[in-house]
Amino acid sequence: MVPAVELTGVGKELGGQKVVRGVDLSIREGEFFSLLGPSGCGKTTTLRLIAGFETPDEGAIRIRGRGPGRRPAFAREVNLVFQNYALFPHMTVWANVAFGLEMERRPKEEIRREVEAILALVRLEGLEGRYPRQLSGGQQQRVALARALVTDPAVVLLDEPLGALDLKLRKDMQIELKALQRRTGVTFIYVTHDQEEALAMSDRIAVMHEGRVLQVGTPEEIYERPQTRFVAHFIGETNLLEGRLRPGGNGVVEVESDGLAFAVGGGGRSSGDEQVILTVRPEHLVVGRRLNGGLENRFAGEVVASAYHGSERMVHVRIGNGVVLRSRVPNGSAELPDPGDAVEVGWPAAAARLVSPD
Amino acid sequence: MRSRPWLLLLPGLLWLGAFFLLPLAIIAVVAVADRGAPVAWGFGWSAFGRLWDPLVVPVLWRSAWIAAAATLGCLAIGYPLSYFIVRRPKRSRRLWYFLVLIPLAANSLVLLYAWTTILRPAGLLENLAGRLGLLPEAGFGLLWSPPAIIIGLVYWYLPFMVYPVYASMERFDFRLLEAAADLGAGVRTSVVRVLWPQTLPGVVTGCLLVYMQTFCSFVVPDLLGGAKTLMVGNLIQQRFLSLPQDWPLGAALALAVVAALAVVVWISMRVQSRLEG
Repeated sequence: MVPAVELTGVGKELGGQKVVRGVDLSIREGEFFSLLGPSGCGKTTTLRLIAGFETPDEGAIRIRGRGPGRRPAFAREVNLVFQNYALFPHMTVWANVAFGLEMERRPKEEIRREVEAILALVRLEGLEGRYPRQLSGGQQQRVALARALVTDPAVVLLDEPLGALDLKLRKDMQIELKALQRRTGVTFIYVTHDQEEALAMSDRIAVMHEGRVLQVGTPEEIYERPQTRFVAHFIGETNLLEGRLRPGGNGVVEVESDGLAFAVGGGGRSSGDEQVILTVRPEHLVVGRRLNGGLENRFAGEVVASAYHGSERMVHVRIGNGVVLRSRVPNGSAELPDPGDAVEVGWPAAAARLVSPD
Repeated sequence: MRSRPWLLLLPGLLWLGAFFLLPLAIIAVVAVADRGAPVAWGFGWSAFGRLWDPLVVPVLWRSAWIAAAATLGCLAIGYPLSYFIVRRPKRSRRLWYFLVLIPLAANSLVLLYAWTTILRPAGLLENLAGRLGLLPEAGFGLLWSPPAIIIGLVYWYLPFMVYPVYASMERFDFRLLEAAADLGAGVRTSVVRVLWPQTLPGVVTGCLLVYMQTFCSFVVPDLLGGAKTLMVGNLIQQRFLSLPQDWPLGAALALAVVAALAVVVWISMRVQSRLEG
């Protein structure tokens, strides 16, 4: 099947800086796809390239298999939901939503039907006559969505659309957006720097850093099997250890770091004596006065800090040679160590991964 | 300390009282007086009756339409100019804006004399047109005609249009034009349906500033209009200073202008408040 959006070797320079470098992406029809990365990583520029507001210096962008040529933004079947919505302040909700249809010179009766249908879909019935300034942030957000969806585009691009909302509303809108995307079946490309948001909503995520795409995958793949140091560090929390690779037995490799040996589940790279980075998520670390056997990694340490996070506690344990590891302990577990306690910390070899230093 | 906010009003009140309200009162007293040499104190409305004199009405009418034409001219030049400036990068924006203001800094009398050398018969303009073979045999006859006045007024008052229009465009969120383009609007549609309605408050203010000043302008029609094309400012001056003197008519004219412009201000304020909703 032809991808909804395809980028091949796309590069873009802005103000003498290469903000997008060699980006390859293939986004499927009907997918909720996120571009995730810190500010300045090139995600918004990538979005503007797809929208047609910028033209790539290198590479090509295809929408449903067709190259854009030199056509302006509107000729593509791509609509953008702007960061601060960019609703027309002097037009009512109705006029804002109808704008795109009027530009397509659709018959009046059809415009009325389409606008009514889309306003019902985003639950804005009864607010047609209001002006944007008379709406709450969440309602404005929904007008922007309706305006982008009403012309039935192939792709809707969303540029951090929830950034202006407060946390509670954000969470609600995440669910609503996702449901809306499911119902309409329209391909969404969603730009965000919020990894939780991307994990919660996306079918697939592309993690971007310094203009490059580092990894593309489902939220599970990105979180559980990060391929680079940056991805492991940026998505969720993790423990990173640098060390030297050593062959081990039983399909397990060992990483020697600061005089300690860490076992890592098989696969991945295993040629001896090279610098590697090991990552293990805090929720995989077990802390206790005395741990049961069966964990390939087990170290004696001392609790240096313990921070309360509501549903869980983050326990910082210093093991030999001063390395501090963080362990996520759900609240309600039997023993909660206090700072100063001598403990053991451990994790299975399969929970640890080797990542590239990018 | 007790706060006395009305104290802040005092300098303004004193100034307006001494240099606006008091002269206006004197003018009002002159307007109801009788013609004399130059004025005979008394009370009557005859001067206001003379406002309908066939020598006066065409001048008022001409002032109104010349001011309107000059305002439209300023808008036609000032609106795209403001757009151009506001889309420059921040640093060069200030320079462009400064360039627009320069004519205000130079001596306007000198600048207007310069215009007479351009517009006069066999002047710079006709010379140039002649070389290009575009000059009609009788010449353009621009100087001492309404078009010359309009050109001079547009030239002089353009900054008063650019300033408010530029200010309203600076507040405009240009992403809205991107949003319109994204939804399929061409450049013209985007400007007409998105930019124009949102910069209308600046346009109304600019038109008001230019119209009020051009309506009673005096120097420009005096230098570029000649004796035949009087505007109301020139007429007022003549009734006070040249023969046949008629101080009450001059004063009545001045009051009529103030009243007419007050109506214009009131209407544009109504329009403004509706625009701002």
